[in-house]
Amino acid sequence: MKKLFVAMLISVSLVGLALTQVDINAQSGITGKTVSLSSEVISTNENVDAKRAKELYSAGQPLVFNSNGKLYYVLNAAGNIDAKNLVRNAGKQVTIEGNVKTSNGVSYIIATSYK
Amino acid sequence: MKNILLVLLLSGLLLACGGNEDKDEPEKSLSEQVEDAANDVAEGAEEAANDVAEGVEEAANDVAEGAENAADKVKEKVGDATTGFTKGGWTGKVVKLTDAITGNYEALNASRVKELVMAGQYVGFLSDGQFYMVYNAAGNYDWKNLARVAGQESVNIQGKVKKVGGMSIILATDIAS
Repeated sequence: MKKLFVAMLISVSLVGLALTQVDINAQSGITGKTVSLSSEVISTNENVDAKRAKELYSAGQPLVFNSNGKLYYVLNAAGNIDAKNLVRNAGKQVTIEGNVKTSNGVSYIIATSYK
Repeated sequence: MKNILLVLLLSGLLLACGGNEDKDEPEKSLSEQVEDAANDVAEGAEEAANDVAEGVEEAANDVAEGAENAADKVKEKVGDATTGFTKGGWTGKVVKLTDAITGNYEALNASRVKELVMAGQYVGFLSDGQFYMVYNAAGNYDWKNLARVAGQESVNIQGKVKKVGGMSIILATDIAS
């Protein structure tokens, strides 16, 4: 009984530690670039500069953020897609500071700043 | 194998040397009897070898056929390995991406979908708690067909699904309510 209790205590501690780690990671910045989701879907890996990003945005084509091959939707503090900042920072490597979260299979960043 | 052949040879010899009831036939010399027995053994061995070869061939064919069937099943389940897409059908509803995150779903219609998309907001498809961006077969964002069925509680999409950079994407061939 004592051993079981100790084992449970250790398990709970490890889970707590892991969750703390996830939270720390979620709050750090991620570096990458603006990409066209359509281009990623058809694997053309189009290089999207600010001009092209604006064209895509105007045509209602989704822009997302690619960090080491993982794609994120980027939201602003108001909870809307932050398309304007994705356009503004397109064509260069940027670090987005904010919170990375996942909900209903959607990975997204609530951006607080772009560097 | 050598031992088996030896035993068969000796058995053949013993049988050959056993009493012969037919008195009319002339008695064979020992060398002839040995030769006959050796021939019998050789014939038996050849037949056995043929049987084994046929058995092995049948088993190999069965294995090949089984492997082919299994490969077909895997291909159906996993989808075309060259594209990474898996065929299927999904039932759900058209939602705004940000609503899928918050869980507060705005009632949508065709004009609202167009308004959202033109404002840089994304509209997709929610099925079984999973949000999908929907593209047409040509690889273009298919918001127009989503707008057509927006507001319907039960929308069915046929097509192929793929994970792209962790995002779930449906390449739709048919969208109907």
